Amino acid sequence: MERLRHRFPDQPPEEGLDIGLLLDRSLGVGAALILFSLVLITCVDVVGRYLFNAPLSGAFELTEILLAALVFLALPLTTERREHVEVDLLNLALGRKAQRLMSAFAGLFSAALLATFAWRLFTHAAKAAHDGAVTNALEIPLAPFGYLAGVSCMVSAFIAFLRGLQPPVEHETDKDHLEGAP
Amino acid sequence: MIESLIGFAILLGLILLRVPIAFAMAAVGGFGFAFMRGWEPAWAMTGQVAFDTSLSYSLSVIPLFIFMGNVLAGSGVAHGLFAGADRLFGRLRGGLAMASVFSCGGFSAVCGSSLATAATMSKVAMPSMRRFGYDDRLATGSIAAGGTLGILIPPSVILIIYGLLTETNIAKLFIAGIVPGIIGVLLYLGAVMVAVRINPALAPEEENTEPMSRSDVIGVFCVLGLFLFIMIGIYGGFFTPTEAAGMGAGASILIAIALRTMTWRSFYAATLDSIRATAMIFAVIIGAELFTNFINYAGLPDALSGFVIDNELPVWAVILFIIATYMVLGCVLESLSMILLTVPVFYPLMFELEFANELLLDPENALIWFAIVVVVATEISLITPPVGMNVFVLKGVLQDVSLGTIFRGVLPFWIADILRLTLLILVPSLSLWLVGLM
Amino acid sequence: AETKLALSSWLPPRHPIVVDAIKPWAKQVEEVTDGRVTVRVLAKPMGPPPAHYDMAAEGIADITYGLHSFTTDDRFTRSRIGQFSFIGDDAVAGSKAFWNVYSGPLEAQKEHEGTKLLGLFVHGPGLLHNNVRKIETTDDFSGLKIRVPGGYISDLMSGLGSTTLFMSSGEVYEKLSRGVIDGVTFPFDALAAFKLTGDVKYTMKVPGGIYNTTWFMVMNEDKWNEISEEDQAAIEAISGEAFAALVGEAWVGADQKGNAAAEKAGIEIYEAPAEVVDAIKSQAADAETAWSEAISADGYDGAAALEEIRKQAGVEF
Ligand code: NA
Ligand code: NA
Repeated sequence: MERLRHRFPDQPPEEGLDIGLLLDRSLGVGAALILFSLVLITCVDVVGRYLFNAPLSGAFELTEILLAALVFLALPLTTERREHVEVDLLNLALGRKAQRLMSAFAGLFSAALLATFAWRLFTHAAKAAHDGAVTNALEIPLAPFGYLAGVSCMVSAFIAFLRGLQPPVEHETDKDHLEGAP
Repeated sequence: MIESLIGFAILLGLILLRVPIAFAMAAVGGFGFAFMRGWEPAWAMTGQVAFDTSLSYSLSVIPLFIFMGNVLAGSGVAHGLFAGADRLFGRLRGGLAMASVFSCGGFSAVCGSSLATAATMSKVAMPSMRRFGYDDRLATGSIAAGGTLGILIPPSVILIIYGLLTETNIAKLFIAGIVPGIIGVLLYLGAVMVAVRINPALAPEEENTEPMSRSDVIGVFCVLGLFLFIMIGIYGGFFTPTEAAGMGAGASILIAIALRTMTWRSFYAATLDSIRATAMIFAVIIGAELFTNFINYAGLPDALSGFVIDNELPVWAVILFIIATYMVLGCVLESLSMILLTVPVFYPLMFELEFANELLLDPENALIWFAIVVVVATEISLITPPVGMNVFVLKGVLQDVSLGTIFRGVLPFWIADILRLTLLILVPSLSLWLVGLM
Repeated sequence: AETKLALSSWLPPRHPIVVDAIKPWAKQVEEVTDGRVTVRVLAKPMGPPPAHYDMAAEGIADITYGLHSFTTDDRFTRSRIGQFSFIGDDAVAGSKAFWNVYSGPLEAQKEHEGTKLLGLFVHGPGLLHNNVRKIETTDDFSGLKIRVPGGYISDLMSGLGSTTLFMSSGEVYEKLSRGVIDGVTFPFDALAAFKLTGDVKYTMKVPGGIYNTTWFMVMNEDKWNEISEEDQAAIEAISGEAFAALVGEAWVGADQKGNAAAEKAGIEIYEAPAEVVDAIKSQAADAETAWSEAISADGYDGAAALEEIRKQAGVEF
């Protein structure tokens, strides 16, 4: 949404939840820093090995860990903007009331699913902590990332739940959340 | 087997009820698995898949290539491409539409995403075409279709995902996409010519091409330079395709800084866009992983191979069946979900059948050729009604144009795509020629 | 009653281990139980390779195989006996000795909690490949950037003075051909499997292998308990040492192909000079002592186990 809005400032902004801005300024900043680090790690690794014949040892594992953190920090943002890929096929045929009902169903369904993921990720992380699972070379413990993922899914579930209770006003053209798929 | 089909039916039902595709796949996959193997294994699988999927070195290319495309889109180089293409085609009837198609192809050479290409080019090309009185059908059709070029011309996020699913060399997949991508551009140019010949009212008789500004020229060189940087980097042996994503993202930031066209605000917005797109894609990957685990356990790939072998079906019939499947699924799903859902089902089939022998290809080349065919088939779905993602993106940007108008405008390009798909199936060497030179 | 088992296989479908060991074993299970127990090899793995042990323990799949080193926690401490230098001159001898010693005196089943241990094996003797120089003295190790799978061989190589890097085996081809790494520790089969023959110039052999990796094949415990005692016995008869021999043969065949490809590509294959072997021995002795001490706390005799495994495998060094 944001992308289209800043490109097409004449468009009316979509009503977002109040937490949108808060999320952007917390999780968004964190995720942005991780994304920059990913770029930096690759560049330092590649440039380093040509200029100084010194590859960045551990680049492989750092990248893996940072990617996991990036994905889960970003999940609540995507959920809040309703940028998960959806198909609005029936919307064209249905009335406003039916649309609202469907939106509520989809929101609550998503919330239940995300909550289940949160629960499973917590369990998975607890097991990783108990086994002492670490990465191969740098021996970074994996459990904290599992907990992070769990919290992220919880926050996302909460957002999806709010969306379900209070579906946003539908625009005729509410299709642009599809943007960004490859 | 029957469980898989029921699973697919429920999945489609949930998707039609507007449940996000990722969550629908995860739910059906998880419940289906629980139904067949019990709750404990299903719960364990859910946690393991959700966690392990994102912990992957190879998948780090996704945010990086997306970030590269978004930064470039924000830095305005697309405008230069369009202006340059306009100099090439401006004197022909429908010249601006051809310029749109051509610059879409050019922009997708540095952007991994079809939808980002469509969104970017609609902003660049649409105002000009409006000004010169182009029919909305041709104007929107050329952009929506042009945007689909992005997933075949490297770099391509979809080809990377195919490579990871099938353990195919990504550098080879990328190079295999070049010739079919160029054929796509040429056929689209042809589609514009034929369309304006049949219906001259689609494009104005006269349009004066504007001279390129200095920044336009610089933009063209930036795109060209970045494409060469990535290609020479990969094929000259300087970095791996995975590293190319990070290097390309770094280079695009340097370009944005050098051009001074981005503000901090727009740069941060491009970053957040990339981040959210990443989570969206990973949600789809995780959901698809759960769903295909269920399908796999239920034995669909085996049943399919068995059916083909028992009935001694000829290769062409199988290929036709696969293409038909994509056309049907393409009505409802978008490329990524389709690739993730179907490739694990079809790819063992390619192995079991010794397809390669019958196609006179070695197995690795057969997989590369299959990748190109599959990607073109899913590309077509992006502009096939009722759910054409690229059409939707355009509709989101251009509020005053109806969906029907865009779908009608896309028709000539759709026909060109079918032609290209047929060509690529009949002549595998179109995809494999450059691979052989590596 | 009929028991249908699903086996999750993560190696490529045409890998020699899958074609010549896993699938034949699955057929044997059906034969020896007169069809009461069947094993279906799934078309696609149910998770990434490192998850495969837990997948069997948690019942995501019924049977899985994988490497002990995938698990980075301390669950399989005693399995590390199979990772040391000088363990076996070919995969049959090495695998049988590894099964006998690890499942015998070292009580492997106790380390494989939640599963029934069906098989243990090692691949062919590990070699050191590189494209910079022939290693003739211990000084030649220094400065070489070597990809290692982690664990013992990682410590050994850095102890000898090389720089060690970790990456997935699929990445090795790209990194080696681009000069990111100078070499890699792999058995012969990997030279052909990962198409490395064009980028390697020297291959150094050490008696019994410079390192090895240890593998398991396990079944979910509850599933195992569903099977009748009679059928359990029949399955055990074709598993364990018999499976070690079967999978060992598969590795040997693959190693021969890799060896032939290396010779055809003109790679110089040579035995490590005495000085280098001695340096490895002294490094190895330290690592072996540390490991023996670690398991002695639980009452196991590591030194005796090492002597036994080398005696059974017939390694002289
Ligand atoms: Na592209
Ligand atoms: Na479609």
